[in-house]
Amino acid sequence: MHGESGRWPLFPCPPRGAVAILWRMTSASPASAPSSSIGLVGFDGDDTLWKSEDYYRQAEQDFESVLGHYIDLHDAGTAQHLLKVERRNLAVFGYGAKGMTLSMIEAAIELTDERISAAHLRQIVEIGRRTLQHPVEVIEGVREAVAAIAARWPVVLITKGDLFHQEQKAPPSRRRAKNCKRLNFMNCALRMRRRKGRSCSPMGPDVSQNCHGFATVSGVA
Amino acid sequence: MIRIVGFDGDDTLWRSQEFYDQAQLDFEAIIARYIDLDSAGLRATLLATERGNLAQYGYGVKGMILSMVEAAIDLTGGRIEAKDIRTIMDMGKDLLVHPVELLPGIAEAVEQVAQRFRVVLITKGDLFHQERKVALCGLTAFQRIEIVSEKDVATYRRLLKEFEVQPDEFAMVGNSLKSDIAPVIELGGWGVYMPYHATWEHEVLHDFDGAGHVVEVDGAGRISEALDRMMSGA
Repeated sequence: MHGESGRWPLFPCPPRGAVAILWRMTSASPASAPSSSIGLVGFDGDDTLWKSEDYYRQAEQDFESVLGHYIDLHDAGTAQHLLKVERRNLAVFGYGAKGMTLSMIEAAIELTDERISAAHLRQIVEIGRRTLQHPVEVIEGVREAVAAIAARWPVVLITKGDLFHQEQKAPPSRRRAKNCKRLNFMNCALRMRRRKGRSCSPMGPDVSQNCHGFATVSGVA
Repeated sequence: MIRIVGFDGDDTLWRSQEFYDQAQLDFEAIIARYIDLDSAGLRATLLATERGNLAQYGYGVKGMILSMVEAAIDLTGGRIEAKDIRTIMDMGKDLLVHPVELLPGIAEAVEQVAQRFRVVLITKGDLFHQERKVALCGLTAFQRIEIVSEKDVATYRRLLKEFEVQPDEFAMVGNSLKSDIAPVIELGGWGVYMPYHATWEHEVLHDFDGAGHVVEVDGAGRISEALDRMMSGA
């Protein structure tokens, strides 16, 4: 829900086989795949280029340990209630760690029937802050993979969520000026998305200097 | 020769700051039940908390609510009750869904400018919240919409490169000297400064010299005229 693909069953993953996968490759697969005339390769950010979900899971555990002072975690269905609050708030907050933190505060107040102390609410604020400050740890092998792809195609980074947080992970200042033309091309590709009410903020790569463009989309139309 | 005109969003196209100001008053009313601190003192504490958190939260309502929760707990020495925190949260949610109300004359002004120049919208803050306002504002003349996390020299430099214009071919219309005018002037561009009756203290800029590249207008109806003045001086 926060970073990317369905940490919680907000958008349930389709059952295996429901998605038409062109070619399923593993590191052991021979290096051959159907040919195509692909002109641009987009990379997702959270949990594709860098780790993200682990930090959200840690935040959820920390949240539960705060609430453990007030309620029996098993009886209360803490995680389920938090999920319910987050789903309810998605239309107001959108994706991201700040929305998660606000939903945690709200869920904590509800689950404890307003008994939670200010000190414990302060701890929840800090859980959110830690999630925002987590280090950007590139997933093993990604640098090499992006470099190899970038040698053959222009590559762009298209990540979803909170603009400010995503820019911290991929600062705009690192974009190479000479790639502007390609960035503009990417902008054209994303124009339709804008027309659907999803604007994007193109900016530069960070994790890989090979990326030619970067867009953060809110992910909610 | 100006080719592109950028418009700011909050308090240039649509009302914004007064909603924040009302939230501030509501916040003060809640805290006043716990501590004896005058309005100025409360305001200063909240502003300090918000500024301290900008590096982590960025601009926008969600960061403001989190800062309010934090300031409320700290100001009351941890005595504030959960139900009052809930009220602060609800205030914040109301801010996120407030109606998008265009400022007087701005729709006509944008159309008028769009007949002569390419117009773009450059707005700062929370992506999700800004997208909502853009979608609801009903203005369709913008050829490009840029939602950025900060409006500084580096941001404008990047945008102008992407627009493929030189700085002196770009004019920015906005209510904030700090975010809309000063960085553009520093790059060599032009500014149409349209002050709003309320300004967030963080956006206040003292001792600004527009170097003859800024025209101040008292309303949206004068924007086109201001651009004329720039064109004749450019």
